[in-house]
Amino acid sequence: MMWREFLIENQAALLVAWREQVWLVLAATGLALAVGLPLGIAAARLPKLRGAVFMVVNMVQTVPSLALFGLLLPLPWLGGIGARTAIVALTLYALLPITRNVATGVLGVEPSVREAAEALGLTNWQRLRHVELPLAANVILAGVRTAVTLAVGTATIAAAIGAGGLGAFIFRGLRQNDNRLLLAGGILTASLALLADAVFAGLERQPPPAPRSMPRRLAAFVGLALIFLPVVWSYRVAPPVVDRRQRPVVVGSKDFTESVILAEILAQRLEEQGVVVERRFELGGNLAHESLLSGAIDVYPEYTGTAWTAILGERPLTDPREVYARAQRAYAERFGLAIGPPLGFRNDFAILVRRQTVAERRLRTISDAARAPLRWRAGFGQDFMARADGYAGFCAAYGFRFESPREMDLSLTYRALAAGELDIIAGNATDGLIAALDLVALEDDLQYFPPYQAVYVARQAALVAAPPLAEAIRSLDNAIDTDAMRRMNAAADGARRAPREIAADFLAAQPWEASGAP
Amino acid sequence: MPPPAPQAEDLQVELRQVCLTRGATVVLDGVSLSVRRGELVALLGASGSGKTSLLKLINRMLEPTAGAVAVEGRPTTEWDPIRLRRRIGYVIQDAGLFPHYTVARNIGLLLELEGRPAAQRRARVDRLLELVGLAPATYADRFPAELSGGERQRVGVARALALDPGLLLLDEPFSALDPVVRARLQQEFAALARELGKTALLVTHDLQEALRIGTRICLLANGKLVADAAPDDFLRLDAPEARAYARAAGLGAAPQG
Repeated sequence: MMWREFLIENQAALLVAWREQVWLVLAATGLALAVGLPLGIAAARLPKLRGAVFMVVNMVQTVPSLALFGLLLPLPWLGGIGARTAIVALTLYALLPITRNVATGVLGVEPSVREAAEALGLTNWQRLRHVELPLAANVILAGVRTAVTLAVGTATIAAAIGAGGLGAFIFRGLRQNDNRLLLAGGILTASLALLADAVFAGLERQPPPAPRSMPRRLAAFVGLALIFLPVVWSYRVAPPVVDRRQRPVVVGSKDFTESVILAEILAQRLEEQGVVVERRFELGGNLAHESLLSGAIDVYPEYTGTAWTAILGERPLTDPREVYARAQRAYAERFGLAIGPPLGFRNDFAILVRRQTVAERRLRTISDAARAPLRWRAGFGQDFMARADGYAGFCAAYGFRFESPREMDLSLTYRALAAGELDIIAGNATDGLIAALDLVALEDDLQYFPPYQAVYVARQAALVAAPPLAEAIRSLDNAIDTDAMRRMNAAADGARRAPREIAADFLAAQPWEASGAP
Repeated sequence: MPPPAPQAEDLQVELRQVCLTRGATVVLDGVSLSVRRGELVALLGASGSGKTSLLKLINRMLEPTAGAVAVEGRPTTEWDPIRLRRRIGYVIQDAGLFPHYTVARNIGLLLELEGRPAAQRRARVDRLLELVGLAPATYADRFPAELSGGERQRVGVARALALDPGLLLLDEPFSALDPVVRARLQQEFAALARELGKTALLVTHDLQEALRIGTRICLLANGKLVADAAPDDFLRLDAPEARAYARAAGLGAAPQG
């Protein structure tokens, strides 16, 4: 049975993801309560403050989560990749329901009761402690309940900034077209939300003299146990590794299979040399570069074309050697970053269609496609839509005119194309999904797309601090050709093998292993 | 006919030319009033006449815009508001009991906050329940939601008496009760206050209540004190506002002329 193998294979990873998710939510809700409780009370007590408080917390709520993660990332103290930024963002989201319900609950206490408390001579604090907070408790609890449910869902996005959690499975499932990963991540996230909800339902109290509902309390207890037993178990299966003897080299990757495999190859190469490695993989969007600049990671795999056009903002060039040389110089001067030697393959943009379309329409090149009398239903990743060497230039060069192309997640465009929902997408030349989904890349006959040579980018300071890093990067000079990369991608996306194993196999097959050097 | 000038040590509450404005509205306009120990003063007036505000000036829940208020011969501005309020019992219209606390805890909360030991608290709560005519064994562990309106008001009075204050302020404490219960509670309260030697200011819009409880009736109209008399004299006053009250209650002399 497929599922059984999957669960056995991923048991430890799923437990760790559950643990990370629980801690993220717990930390964020706890912090939001610590901030939201006094803030809500202040808002209730001081009508002048109320408007301002709610304007701010409401505004935070309207920022999309990925954008908020991105905005926090470059901040010196709150930001950076990993759990801290995620907790800050989740806390900000949890602040609205908590603050609002604290204020609503306190203001909702019957006026005669509040007046009596004041007239009897209760101090400000005693009024809160004995009257307002107990009577607002259910409303406040409902706010915390909303905040927790919200945080469980939003925390899945945190995987994009390397905070881990169940979202990593969801993102990976989407990218690798693997429903088991998707379902595992999704079902566990939903379960966590439901369990947390049951716990809060049991905490709620009917006003006295009504007795507490026993079935609800039981459900709350069971829910609590089901949330925390896997956490406890996870520490047995996979205790967190803390090795403080040596400053680790932090290897990052972007959020697609190839980048993860390349990062894993470098990480294992370093580990072979006895270097302690910390993995910060699957960073979404431009986060990998930002993280490198801020020093949160030391090295990650990049492409020269991306560096040249997307990061340096230069006009696209077609000569691979020119792009490499100019990007390398600009990186050194502008960022203090070193671009390592080419790894040996290119991952250019590839315009992809179904094999059936190619056969029916007798297409070979992109120009053929542009001339074909067809209403192309097109879908492109955000990256392609935004880049200088992407959509706009591509349409102009080939004379393509698309009626409202869909802008969507890159991995989803593959699925949509294979399912016949789209007719043409822009993928990556070495993508394992091309073979797995039986897609065909059209030839770039006008040589519009600039070259994307794979390289490692590292902080120069990190190279100085950890000489084995420079050594490892040098050893991978020209070590991976296009075929090898495509096979590794297919192994991950088609055969569903773990990047860790794929990287290990690759390194085991290298000649330096046989010769036992260095 | 104003009462003879009282001795300073006899004065429980003194208001001198007190004005209170809220925004553009004049709530109280130059009110002067002296209350001696043991008096039960009924503050009579229509809603909006400023009578509740007058009570709140005494325990510093409001501060006067002009004029001065003194309690036990000391200006209220010199009192710590919390200490002042704990020396003054306060009863409001719908009792304002804490719905999440039992009757015993409602009454005993101030004793608890004052750090009295539990055994002493329990004894005091039982005594107070007996004073207001509720059997401790039956009522101590009930919640406010399990009480009738009259019972709630009795608990409200017991709570106000917890720290044995010399002065009680009551803001329409019986007005939400049905007439039979109301009459009984009014009589019981007047007897209790006299028995315990309390001074009380009672706000009401009901002349019958003022007559039943008050040893003195003060009439407020539009923020001014327009009449101040003993109950027997009140019905014979010439002030048009006082006569309107008497007529409405069916107690006034028929208009003359």
